[in-house]
Amino acid sequence: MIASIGSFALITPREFISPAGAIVHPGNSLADIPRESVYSEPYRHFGKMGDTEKLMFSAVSLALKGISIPESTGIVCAVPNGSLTTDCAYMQSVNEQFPSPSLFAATLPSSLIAELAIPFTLRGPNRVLAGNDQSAVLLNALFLIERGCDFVVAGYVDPNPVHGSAAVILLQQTETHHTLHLDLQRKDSETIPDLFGSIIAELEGRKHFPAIKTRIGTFHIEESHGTTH
Amino acid sequence: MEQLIESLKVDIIDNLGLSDISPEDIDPSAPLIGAGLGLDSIDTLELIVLVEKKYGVKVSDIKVGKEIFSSLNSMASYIESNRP
Repeated sequence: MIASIGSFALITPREFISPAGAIVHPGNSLADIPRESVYSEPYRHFGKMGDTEKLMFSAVSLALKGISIPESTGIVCAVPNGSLTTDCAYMQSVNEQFPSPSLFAATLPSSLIAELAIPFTLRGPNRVLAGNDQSAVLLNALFLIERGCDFVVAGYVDPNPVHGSAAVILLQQTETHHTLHLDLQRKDSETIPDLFGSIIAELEGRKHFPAIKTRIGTFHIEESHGTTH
Repeated sequence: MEQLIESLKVDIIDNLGLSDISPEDIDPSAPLIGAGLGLDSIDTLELIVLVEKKYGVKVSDIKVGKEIFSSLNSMASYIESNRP
């Protein structure tokens, strides 16, 4: 049995690509995305999130859209600079004499996990990684599966304000006791969706590793350069 | 007072990121915390910062704070009577 691919969804501000087709959409920021196209129901807390959390929440929403997974599902997330962006914003509020309580709460790198675990009811083991090694995300997810987690939501988010993106892969244990050795390095020119595509290709090519079913959701912001789409 | 309440509605939406809510949706007499707007404890702290930062009014007693932030009406009333 070869690892099977569930579905793939890639969102850019201009188009929504899903197994069902594409939806043309103008805009170039998270605020432009019609939430009803991504989320099954409005999530009031979304407006309070920072860009990191919004991007990852959106990608997870896509990856999990229309499916049901158990509460025991684990989470692994990686952010290139951990909570540094939030740390800087918090320090700025301190310097302005009015420290922001909500920013302070978000200076914990693991707050990203909470922003996913609470709305999606994911109570399994979780890990947050600071860095840009996406293969580490996958390997940590596989480790959780190896330790008995049937499902793991694993994602990488780059909260770049202009070209921010997030990619999430849902791994499902279908059999047990398989070992995977990955040597995936992100090339400079490679986008996050490309990289996760590489991971899928890698998994597909490993016929001796049939234990994982995957499903991906990615969310990518691109500058529209003022054009009308 | 009416003007202050309208101003506070906008402040709350902006400061707490309530992007799904418009000022007309906020009932001045409805509870701010829990039910009503559904604000949580972190939001309450943000409201305390907002009241001090924008209106120069300090909320230093947690017991009084519960009463102040029970509704938009009570919040406006406290600001109105404690403004420097």
